[in-house]
Amino acid sequence: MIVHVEAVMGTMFSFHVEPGERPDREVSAAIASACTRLHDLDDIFSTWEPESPMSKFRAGLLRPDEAPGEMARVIALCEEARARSKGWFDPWAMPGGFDPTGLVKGWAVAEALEILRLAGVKAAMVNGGGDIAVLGSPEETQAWRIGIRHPWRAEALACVLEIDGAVATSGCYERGPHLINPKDGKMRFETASASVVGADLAICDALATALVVADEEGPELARTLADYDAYLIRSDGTEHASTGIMFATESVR
Amino acid sequence: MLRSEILSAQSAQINAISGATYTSQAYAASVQSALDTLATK
Repeated sequence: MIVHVEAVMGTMFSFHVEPGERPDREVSAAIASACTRLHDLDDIFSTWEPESPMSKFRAGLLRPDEAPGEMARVIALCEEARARSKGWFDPWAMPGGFDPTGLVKGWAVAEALEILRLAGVKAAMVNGGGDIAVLGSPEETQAWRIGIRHPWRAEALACVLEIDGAVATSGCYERGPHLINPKDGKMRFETASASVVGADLAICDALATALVVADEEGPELARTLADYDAYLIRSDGTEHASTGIMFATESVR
Repeated sequence: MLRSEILSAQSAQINAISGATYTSQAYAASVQSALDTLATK
């Protein structure tokens, strides 16, 4: 197993890669090129850096056709996520203008994993600050086993999920209130943690945010999502999981 | 109820941990950091 940790986008990206038939030096080169891609995406989409294409786009100083091609891709994903979330994920309703932050990191993780896929590795996991995409199977087990962090105890897990695609989790326990209800501007929620499992990590990331800000309507939204599954923890300790969530056998309750 | 059923990250044999985005500073003390160190060995 080749492991690499990269500081980018204000967090840490962890890579666990099983080379299979590929020589280690090729795999290391693929990881390095995935990291270059992450730094490039950070440069494009930073909302902190006033000269970034994203900041200029938000300020109306850059037309969509003048922006890097990645901008159109992210805008299309945001439209898809807004529709799938029934409007609870809405980058166009954020104060200060269009803000795709809730989707960009998940998308960036998926972009990094794609570079490893093209390099022909046997199996890989990329974790971008808590948002995870996988390919293949880890050596010892059939499925990737992903712990969902306990919202009130950093060193503990709420449960273990088995995934073969992607999982993203949103909540306000790490960085305080930073999510906004696009419908009324509220920033306090009774959903402590929302995880979404599915094929596309960009969509998982956006839907996890949507489920937190949907608050008391989150459990119903979770049940009615198409193609994606969700696991919620409310602040009273109650849990809600849609039918396709695969709990690892040891954590079935 | 969730709070009465706490799973230890050490005993769960997980490959990674998903959670709300941590800062690069918070990573050092995180379960993911421990898993990265373990996988390197």
